[in-house]
Amino acid sequence: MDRNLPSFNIMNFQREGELICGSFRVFGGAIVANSRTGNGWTVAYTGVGRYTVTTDETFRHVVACDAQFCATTVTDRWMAPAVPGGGAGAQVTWELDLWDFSATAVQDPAATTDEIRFWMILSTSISDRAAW
Amino acid sequence: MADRNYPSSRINNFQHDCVLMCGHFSVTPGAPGTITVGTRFGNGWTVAVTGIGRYTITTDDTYRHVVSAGATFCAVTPTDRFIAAVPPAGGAGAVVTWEIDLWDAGGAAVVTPAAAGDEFHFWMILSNSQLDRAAW
Repeated sequence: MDRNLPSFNIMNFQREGELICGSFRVFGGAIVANSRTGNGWTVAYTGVGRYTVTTDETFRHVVACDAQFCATTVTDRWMAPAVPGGGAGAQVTWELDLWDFSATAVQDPAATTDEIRFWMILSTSISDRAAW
Repeated sequence: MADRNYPSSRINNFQHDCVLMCGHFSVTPGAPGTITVGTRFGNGWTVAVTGIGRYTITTDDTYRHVVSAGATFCAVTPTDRFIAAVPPAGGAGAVVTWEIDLWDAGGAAVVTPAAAGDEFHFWMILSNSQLDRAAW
């Protein structure tokens, strides 16, 4: 295909999707102060190894999302996120869980410098088709 | 720090704007299970169950290259299962196919999801011009 699709609204939705992304750090049972990059969302420590991201605004659908754990030291921990919630005109909430393979359980990061990175593509129009 | 504004991805990557293809779907558990009706979000692609724990996404249109891709498994209950993706295939003027497999670390095997509400999320950045440089 050699045509130029000007933006991803053609391939996905009536309007261009919105990209919400960012990173944060966790240590000592809390989100590390001043570690949050990116706008349009907040994050709360909701349990050991569980961090819930909430968008500031309301959206229709989560089209796709992804998360990555960036560790200071190589580790067998990875992101095992929950199914995103909200949308349909409400704020989107997404619980990001950090799975520890050795412990076979969710765990907090080992180092204060470890980072959790995520992004979501969100639809903003009520005209957008939900699913089929 | 760069203070200029990159107007589009073509400057950073390719001759034309790239296409973002993304979406998600759910699978009704079973052996091999089925794509659950009414769970597919996003346009420009279809998905088929091609084996136990194996799901092949196919783009509707043809492309030149897959620039980058990623996928994640969102589980209702925290789990040691994660996406173990196969290299994307196709392109070079053909539709792109991408098999994403669900790996069970504890079971050391490809498996189907445990819950019908579990979701597979994915994205691909695709180039669409024959002028685009393949690799270097």
